[in-house]
Amino acid sequence: MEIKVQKNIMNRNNEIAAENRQRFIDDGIFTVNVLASPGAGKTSVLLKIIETIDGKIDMAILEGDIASQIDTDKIRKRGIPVMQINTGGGCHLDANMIRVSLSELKPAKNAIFLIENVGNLVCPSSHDLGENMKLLIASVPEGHDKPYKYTSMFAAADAIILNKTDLLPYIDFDKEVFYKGVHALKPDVPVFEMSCKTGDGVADFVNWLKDKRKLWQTQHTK
Amino acid sequence: MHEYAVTENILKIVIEQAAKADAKKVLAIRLTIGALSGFEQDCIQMYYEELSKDTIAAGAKLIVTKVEAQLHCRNCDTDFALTHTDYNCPTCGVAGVYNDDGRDFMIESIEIE
Repeated sequence: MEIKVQKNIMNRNNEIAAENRQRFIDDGIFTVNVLASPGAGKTSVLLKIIETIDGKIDMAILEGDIASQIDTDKIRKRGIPVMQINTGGGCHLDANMIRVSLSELKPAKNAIFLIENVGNLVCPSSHDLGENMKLLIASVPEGHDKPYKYTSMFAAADAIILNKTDLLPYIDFDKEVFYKGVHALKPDVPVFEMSCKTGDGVADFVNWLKDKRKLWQTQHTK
Repeated sequence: MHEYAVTENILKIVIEQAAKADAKKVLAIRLTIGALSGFEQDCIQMYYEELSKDTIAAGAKLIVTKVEAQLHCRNCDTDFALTHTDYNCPTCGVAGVYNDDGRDFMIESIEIE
């Protein structure tokens, strides 16, 4: 006998993600899921955001890594509330890990909450955490072909940073090919060229992020 | 690696549905997996065999319908499958954009006795 099921397999994750999303709305917390391959510069970008953003905006950081406290230690030195999740081999964060860590990290009301996902261009794209936006960080040394190889990730991104642009003179990175792939997957996605080394492009991105948060707050908070 | 967790989800949903229908055994599970869902059939199969041991769903056949990713050309309105890597429309050559096909990841039905 055949029984119709018709269930999305990610339902349980998506239900918890929806609870997280409601909590973020209730507390006015603007949450960014930061995605990239290992070594693209996630933590460097986070540190640049912390340095550049208006000191009146509270921040909270969640660091997802398979192992180690290295990234957390760098952020803690800046006096920002930070918590490390070690997935112990797991390749991504899921909605329940976020729910559990919220009770310990306790981001302030109206904070910007940055979640650094596990360095991986595959699995994290399939798991909604309840975030308000997905920020993908690509970097020049990875090559211009990444939008063609990691389609799910590039298709999921709400904004993209192209990091390490200071290396463009030394690397065969074809920006035209990169942008064509990016826009095939997501025609209107904003792309920010940035160098954490020189600071180029950091202010443009941080201003955009602040505007995005303000718009979200006017739409969602009472 | 992440197929392990989703295979646990699949098994949980299947056993719930089978129990509701008073099934003695689950014979087959029909899944739809989109090319953009990020999940691999072979990997799910491997974890399924391991995780389903000693359950009423042990040994069930996984029957997978794959949904290819489709692109849409906004210039000439053609839908086309991604067969090569430049995203260009086979009709007019303009770069296409992915539509929602290929993102599915569903349990469609189960076969029980």
